[in-house]
Amino acid sequence: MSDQNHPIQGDQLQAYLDDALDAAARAEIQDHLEICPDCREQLARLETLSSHLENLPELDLSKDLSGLVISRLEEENSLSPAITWTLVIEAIAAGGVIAALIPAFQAAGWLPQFREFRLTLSAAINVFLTQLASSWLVWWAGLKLQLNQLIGTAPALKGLAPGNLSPWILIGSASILAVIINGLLLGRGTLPGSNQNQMQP
Amino acid sequence: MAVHGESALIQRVQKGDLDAYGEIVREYQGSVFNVCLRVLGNIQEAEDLTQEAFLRAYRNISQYDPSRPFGPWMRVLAANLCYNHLKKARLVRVPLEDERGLPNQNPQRGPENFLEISQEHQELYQKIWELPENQRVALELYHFQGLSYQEMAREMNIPLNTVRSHLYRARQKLASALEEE
Repeated sequence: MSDQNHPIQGDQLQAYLDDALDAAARAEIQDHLEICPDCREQLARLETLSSHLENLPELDLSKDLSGLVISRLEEENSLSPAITWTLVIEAIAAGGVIAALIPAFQAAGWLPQFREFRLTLSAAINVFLTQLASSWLVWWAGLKLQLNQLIGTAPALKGLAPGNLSPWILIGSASILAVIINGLLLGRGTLPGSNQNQMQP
Repeated sequence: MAVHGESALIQRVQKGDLDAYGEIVREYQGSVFNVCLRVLGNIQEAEDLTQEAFLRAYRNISQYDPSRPFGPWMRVLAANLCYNHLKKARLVRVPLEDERGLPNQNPQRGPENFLEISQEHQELYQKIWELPENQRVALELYHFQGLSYQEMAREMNIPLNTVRSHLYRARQKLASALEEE
């Protein structure tokens, strides 16, 4: 059967045995089996093996694992709400800090002592806000995992699982946020300069 | 376990009833352990992965369709978990001269009834454990879990022809081993 020139190869016999051939291919092999003792022998080997595997006795599990499984699940269930709500509060707090810091830093750009360093300050604010936004996304990713675990145990809330949110939506949202922040900074950034020119004697 | 009884139990599990899940674990732990043992060839790992499979099944129980039998779903989940475990272990393992992925246990240390089964069956277990990992998993999914070639390809995330090839090679080796006895 290892002969590459043989009209029927071993894997075809296997497919024949597993009933994984179409009617034409099956008929072709049936015809061949009638005239080829080698293939009949090979098929018999595979059938014997199948029979041995079918009769292979199962081995005993020496201990009951149900107690261990249930205690681990109880542990997870008792931890999940605490971790989840901690993460929810952290995420909201982080979002709040970002929301509060944007106008605060923009206002700082208008202070007279910072006028000379307006561009440098704007760049620093951008970097800082980007890092904050990234941290918030990391928080959110951790939060998603915990919320999924929690909601997974309550089928009524299944539709609310944050796991249904595509990561592309998150990335898209982060990009839009970055664009808005930059737009705000650049828009605000021109005002102090123009005021400054008008105030020059 | 009667089908309607099982379905009622699963519905209780889906509502978060851990006592009901305990009954499910006790019912299926033996067959799931055997899946893990055949694929991994290591008692301790098989017990660990059996536990892990039940934990994972509980976490994903909302995805399970209660109108279908739980046992096959659970056992395929376990086989898949063991397959992924073997793949990860292969990635971190220092490459050996022998790349066949031989199980790292002495089967004589196996379950209590290992020595009680016939010599012929003991040798068949040994030969299964000596197969390369991919072939062992293919054999498990086809012969013991009754998956089609297409289902195996999906579970193992490999092309259909590769599935056929793994299964064919596994069978050839085992058939030759049986003839040598």
